[in-house]
Amino acid sequence: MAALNVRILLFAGLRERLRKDKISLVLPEGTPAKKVLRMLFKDEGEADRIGKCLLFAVNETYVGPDAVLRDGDELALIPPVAGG
Amino acid sequence: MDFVILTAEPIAIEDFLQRAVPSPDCGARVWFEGVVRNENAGERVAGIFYQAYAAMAERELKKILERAKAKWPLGSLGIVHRTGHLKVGECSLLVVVQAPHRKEAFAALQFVIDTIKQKVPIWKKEFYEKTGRHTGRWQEPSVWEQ
Repeated sequence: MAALNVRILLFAGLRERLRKDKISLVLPEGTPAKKVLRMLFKDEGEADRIGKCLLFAVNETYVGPDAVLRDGDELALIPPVAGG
Repeated sequence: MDFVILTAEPIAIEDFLQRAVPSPDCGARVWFEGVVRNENAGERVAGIFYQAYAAMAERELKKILERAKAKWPLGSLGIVHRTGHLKVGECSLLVVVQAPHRKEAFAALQFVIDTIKQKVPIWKKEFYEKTGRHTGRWQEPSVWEQ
Protein backbone atom coordinates (compact mmCIF):
# COMPACT_ATOMS: atom_id res chain seq x y z
CA MET A 1 0.00 0.00 0.00
CA ALA A 2 1.36 3.44 -0.91
CA ALA A 3 2.22 5.87 1.89
CA LEU A 4 1.08 9.49 2.04
CA ASN A 5 3.18 12.38 3.23
CA VAL A 6 0.88 14.89 4.89
CA ARG A 7 1.67 18.13 6.68
CA ILE A 8 -0.56 18.97 9.65
CA LEU A 9 -1.00 22.64 10.61
CA LEU A 10 -1.93 23.58 14.17
CA PHE A 11 -3.35 26.84 15.51
CA ALA A 12 -4.37 28.67 18.68
CA GLY A 13 -4.87 26.51 21.78
CA LEU A 14 -4.12 23.31 19.90
CA ARG A 15 -0.76 24.69 18.80
CA GLU A 16 0.12 25.49 22.40
CA ARG A 17 -1.20 22.17 23.63
CA LEU A 18 1.07 20.20 21.26
CA ARG A 19 3.89 22.80 21.36
CA LYS A 20 4.25 22.71 17.57
CA ASP A 21 2.85 24.70 14.68
CA LYS A 22 3.23 21.91 12.14
CA ILE A 23 3.80 18.18 12.11
CA SER A 24 4.72 15.93 9.18
CA LEU A 25 3.09 12.49 9.17
CA VAL A 26 3.42 9.45 6.93
CA LEU A 27 -0.02 7.88 6.67
CA PRO A 28 -1.47 4.82 4.98
CA GLU A 29 -3.44 5.33 1.79
CA GLY A 30 -7.14 6.02 2.39
CA THR A 31 -6.65 7.83 5.72
CA PRO A 32 -9.55 10.23 6.46
CA ALA A 33 -8.86 13.65 8.03
CA LYS A 34 -10.47 12.74 11.37
CA LYS A 35 -8.11 9.78 11.85
CA VAL A 36 -5.18 12.16 12.29
CA LEU A 37 -6.49 13.17 15.73
CA ARG A 38 -6.10 9.59 16.93
CA MET A 39 -2.44 9.79 15.92
CA LEU A 40 -1.79 13.11 17.63
CA PHE A 41 -3.63 12.20 20.84
CA LYS A 42 -2.94 8.76 22.19
CA ASP A 43 -6.05 8.85 24.37
CA GLU A 44 -8.96 8.01 22.05
CA GLY A 45 -11.49 9.73 24.30
CA GLU A 46 -9.45 12.91 24.20
CA ALA A 47 -9.05 12.69 20.41
CA ASP A 48 -12.81 12.28 19.98
CA ARG A 49 -13.60 15.11 22.38
CA ILE A 50 -11.25 17.46 20.55
CA GLY A 51 -12.60 16.27 17.19
CA LYS A 52 -16.06 17.49 18.12
CA CYS A 53 -14.77 21.06 18.46
CA LEU A 54 -12.67 21.16 15.29
CA LEU A 55 -13.14 21.74 11.60
CA PHE A 56 -10.75 20.41 8.98
CA ALA A 57 -9.27 22.16 5.95
CA VAL A 58 -7.22 20.53 3.21
CA ASN A 59 -5.05 22.80 1.09
CA GLU A 60 -6.83 25.89 2.46
CA THR A 61 -10.39 24.64 1.84
CA TYR A 62 -12.84 23.34 4.45
CA VAL A 63 -13.57 19.61 4.14
CA GLY A 64 -15.65 17.15 6.15
CA PRO A 65 -14.04 14.85 8.75
CA ASP A 66 -14.29 11.86 6.40
CA ALA A 67 -12.38 13.53 3.54
CA VAL A 68 -9.66 11.15 2.37
CA LEU A 69 -6.15 12.59 2.43
CA ARG A 70 -3.81 12.50 -0.55
CA ASP A 71 -0.06 12.56 -0.84
CA GLY A 72 1.30 16.09 -0.35
CA ASP A 73 -1.84 17.42 1.31
CA GLU A 74 -1.68 20.14 3.93
CA LEU A 75 -4.28 19.40 6.60
CA ALA A 76 -5.18 22.25 8.95
CA LEU A 77 -6.96 21.53 12.22
CA ILE A 78 -9.24 24.53 12.71
CA PRO A 79 -10.36 25.31 16.27
CA PRO A 80 -13.52 27.44 16.62
CA VAL A 81 -12.70 30.71 14.90
CA ALA A 82 -12.86 34.08 16.65
CA GLY A 83 -12.05 36.78 14.13
CA GLY A 84 -13.63 40.20 14.00
CA MET B 1 -12.39 49.53 -5.40
CA ASP B 2 -12.66 46.10 -3.74
CA PHE B 3 -9.95 44.86 -1.40
CA VAL B 4 -9.16 42.11 1.10
CA ILE B 5 -6.16 42.64 3.35
CA LEU B 6 -4.71 40.78 6.31
CA THR B 7 -2.11 42.91 8.04
CA ALA B 8 0.14 42.92 11.09
CA GLU B 9 0.34 46.75 10.87
CA PRO B 10 -2.10 49.13 12.59
CA ILE B 11 -5.12 49.72 10.31
CA ALA B 12 -4.95 53.24 8.88
CA ILE B 13 -8.70 53.76 8.60
CA GLU B 14 -8.61 57.00 6.60
CA ASP B 15 -6.27 55.45 4.03
CA PHE B 16 -8.61 52.54 3.46
CA LEU B 17 -11.67 54.78 3.24
CA GLN B 18 -9.83 56.66 0.47
CA ARG B 19 -8.91 53.38 -1.17
CA ALA B 20 -12.61 52.48 -1.48
CA VAL B 21 -12.83 55.41 -3.99
CA PRO B 22 -16.23 57.11 -3.90
CA SER B 23 -18.45 55.96 -6.73
CA PRO B 24 -20.88 58.49 -8.33
CA ASP B 25 -23.69 55.92 -8.54
CA CYS B 26 -23.46 55.05 -4.83
CA GLY B 27 -25.55 57.06 -2.40
CA ALA B 28 -24.49 55.06 0.65
CA ARG B 29 -21.08 54.52 2.10
CA VAL B 30 -20.95 52.71 5.45
CA TRP B 31 -18.14 51.17 7.42
CA PHE B 32 -17.56 49.16 10.55
CA GLU B 33 -14.58 49.27 12.88
CA GLY B 34 -14.09 46.38 15.27
CA VAL B 35 -12.16 47.69 18.26
CA VAL B 36 -10.46 45.90 21.17
CA ARG B 37 -12.65 46.43 24.24
CA ASN B 38 -11.33 46.73 27.81
CA GLU B 39 -13.69 44.13 29.30
CA ASN B 40 -14.96 40.64 28.54
CA ALA B 41 -17.12 38.42 30.76
CA GLY B 42 -16.35 40.54 33.80
CA GLU B 43 -12.56 40.62 33.33
CA ARG B 44 -10.46 43.68 32.55
CA VAL B 45 -8.83 43.06 29.16
CA ALA B 46 -5.38 44.54 28.52
CA GLY B 47 -5.07 43.42 24.89
CA ILE B 48 -5.71 40.72 22.32
CA PHE B 49 -3.36 38.62 20.21
CA TYR B 50 -4.85 37.68 16.83
CA GLN B 51 -3.43 34.64 15.05
CA ALA B 52 -4.44 33.73 11.48
CA TYR B 53 -4.00 30.87 9.06
CA ALA B 54 -3.07 33.65 6.68
CA ALA B 55 -3.36 31.99 3.26
CA MET B 56 -6.71 30.41 4.02
CA ALA B 57 -8.03 33.47 5.88
CA GLU B 58 -7.41 35.59 2.77
CA ARG B 59 -9.15 33.02 0.59
CA GLU B 60 -12.16 32.89 2.92
CA LEU B 61 -12.35 36.69 3.09
CA LYS B 62 -12.34 36.83 -0.72
CA LYS B 63 -15.16 34.25 -0.84
CA ILE B 64 -17.20 36.37 1.58
CA LEU B 65 -16.54 39.43 -0.59
CA GLU B 66 -17.71 37.57 -3.71
CA ARG B 67 -20.83 36.25 -1.95
CA ALA B 68 -21.78 39.72 -0.73
CA LYS B 69 -21.28 41.19 -4.21
CA ALA B 70 -23.44 38.44 -5.73
CA LYS B 71 -26.18 39.08 -3.16
CA TRP B 72 -26.37 42.90 -3.31
CA PRO B 73 -25.58 45.46 -6.04
CA LEU B 74 -22.55 46.93 -4.31
CA GLY B 75 -20.34 49.66 -5.71
CA SER B 76 -17.38 48.37 -3.71
CA LEU B 77 -16.46 46.30 -0.69
CA GLY B 78 -13.25 46.38 1.32
CA ILE B 79 -12.22 44.17 4.25
CA VAL B 80 -9.10 44.64 6.41
CA HIS B 81 -8.30 42.33 9.33
CA ARG B 82 -5.45 42.84 11.75
CA THR B 83 -3.16 40.16 13.21
CA GLY B 84 -0.64 40.20 16.08
CA HIS B 85 -0.79 41.99 19.44
CA LEU B 86 -3.41 44.74 19.76
CA LYS B 87 -3.97 47.08 22.68
CA VAL B 88 -7.34 48.23 23.96
CA GLY B 89 -8.80 50.76 21.52
CA GLU B 90 -6.93 49.47 18.46
CA CYS B 91 -8.90 48.50 15.35
CA SER B 92 -9.00 44.75 14.62
CA LEU B 93 -11.40 44.79 11.67
CA LEU B 94 -12.48 47.34 9.09
CA VAL B 95 -15.26 46.71 6.55
CA VAL B 96 -16.15 49.43 4.03
CA VAL B 97 -19.25 49.10 1.84
CA GLN B 98 -20.55 51.35 -0.95
CA ALA B 99 -23.95 50.78 -2.50
CA PRO B 100 -26.60 52.78 -4.38
CA HIS B 101 -28.85 52.82 -1.28
CA ARG B 102 -28.39 52.48 2.48
CA LYS B 103 -30.58 49.39 2.83
CA GLU B 104 -28.29 47.09 0.86
CA ALA B 105 -25.18 48.81 2.24
CA PHE B 106 -26.17 48.03 5.85
CA ALA B 107 -27.37 44.52 4.96
CA ALA B 108 -24.11 43.68 3.20
CA LEU B 109 -22.07 45.10 6.07
CA GLN B 110 -23.93 42.95 8.60
CA PHE B 111 -23.57 39.85 6.41
CA VAL B 112 -19.82 40.34 5.97
CA ILE B 113 -19.15 40.78 9.70
CA ASP B 114 -21.35 37.83 10.72
CA THR B 115 -19.77 35.53 8.14
CA ILE B 116 -16.22 36.53 9.10
CA LYS B 117 -17.00 35.46 12.66
CA GLN B 118 -18.23 32.06 11.45
CA LYS B 119 -15.84 31.12 8.67
CA VAL B 120 -12.49 32.87 8.63
CA PRO B 121 -9.60 31.00 10.33
CA ILE B 122 -8.50 33.73 12.73
CA TRP B 123 -8.22 33.21 16.48
CA LYS B 124 -7.84 35.56 19.40
CA LYS B 125 -6.14 35.22 22.73
CA GLU B 126 -7.14 37.70 25.40
CA PHE B 127 -4.70 39.08 27.93
CA TYR B 128 -5.95 40.50 31.20
CA GLU B 129 -4.80 43.34 33.40
CA LYS B 130 -4.48 41.12 36.47
CA THR B 131 -2.37 38.38 34.83
CA GLY B 132 -0.26 40.44 32.42
CA ARG B 133 1.08 39.87 28.96
CA HIS B 134 2.36 36.33 29.46
CA THR B 135 -0.84 34.62 30.55
CA GLY B 136 -3.75 34.80 28.17
CA ARG B 137 -6.76 32.76 27.17
CA TRP B 138 -7.79 31.62 23.69
CA GLN B 139 -11.42 32.34 22.93
CA GLU B 140 -12.35 28.73 22.27
CA PRO B 141 -13.42 25.63 24.26
CA SER B 142 -10.88 24.66 26.90
CA VAL B 143 -11.02 20.97 25.96
CA TRP B 144 -7.39 20.79 24.83
CA GLU B 145 -6.02 22.82 27.70
CA GLN B 146 -6.63 20.06 30.25
